[in-house]
Amino acid sequence: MLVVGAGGLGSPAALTLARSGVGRITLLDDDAVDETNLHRQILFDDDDVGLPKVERGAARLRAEGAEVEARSGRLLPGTALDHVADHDLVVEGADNFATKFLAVDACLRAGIPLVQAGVVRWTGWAFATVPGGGACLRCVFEDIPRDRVETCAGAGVIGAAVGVLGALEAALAIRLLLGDATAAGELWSFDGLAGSLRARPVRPRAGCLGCAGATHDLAPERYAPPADGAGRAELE
Amino acid sequence: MAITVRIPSALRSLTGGADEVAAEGATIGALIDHVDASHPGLKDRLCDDKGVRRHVNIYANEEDIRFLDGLETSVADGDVIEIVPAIAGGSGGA
Repeated sequence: MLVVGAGGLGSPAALTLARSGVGRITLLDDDAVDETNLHRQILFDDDDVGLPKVERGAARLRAEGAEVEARSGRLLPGTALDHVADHDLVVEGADNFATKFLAVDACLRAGIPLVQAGVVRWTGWAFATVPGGGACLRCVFEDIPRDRVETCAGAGVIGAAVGVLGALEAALAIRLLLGDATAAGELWSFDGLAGSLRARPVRPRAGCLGCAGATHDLAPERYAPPADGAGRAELE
Repeated sequence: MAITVRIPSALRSLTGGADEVAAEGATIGALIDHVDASHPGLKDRLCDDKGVRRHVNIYANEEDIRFLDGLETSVADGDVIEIVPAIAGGSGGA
């Protein structure tokens, strides 16, 4: 399995999956551990600050019994297909829309199931896409927001909220690995303040570019951030 | 009895922090106009000149309004409307 992003989502997801017996994990990230990560990125401890996330994360996951490849890098249009290749499943926990849509486009083209999530402050969503098996992420959110959206930079993200969504990603991944196709095509939404966790079935959307294969070329311009930064909207 | 509109955390700065507001209207579009009158700016966050913004999902009683009649979807007292926007944060990596 490929875990994209050893951050707030990838940490609990990978840790839970390793402890659940997922034997082989590739961890993809190009960042170093920062002190400000520690409240939510539970793969790391104080001693890891300043060190590559994939190296420290891999060491932690190996201690749980998993065989882990530490892969330093990012999911980019030119590398995405190589990164997802030879994996049974991809779990994505990146912090930007471009990577989320690139991940689903690459997995749709490669025919690999994908679990994704996003969180800001106390709220988040999770969704699993199985190529050829119903709705994809583009059926839900269509494309990178390029219009005006609130930026939550500085608002922060709650460690407990990303923990919930990361664990939910792991749960969806385990269901898919066990052959439960019903795990795909449901939009899960969590609100830690309102105390709600809901799942709604999502139907394939007519005209969805992802389902139609129109995004299979992974054209770099499709994932370029908008000039005004709106594509990074509602980030932590 | 009014219609309940559940507000996601990203938009609660427009509702004084409220996670739900009561509103009136015969359609989703009218409902949004009604909420926008008391919470200015909300409509602009949900809609553009083409309709509902593409990164925003609106559910009427758990059904995506794209598969109903969009902004013309009929609503009635007691219905629950939920707004689910795309959000991308949570990692701090990759």
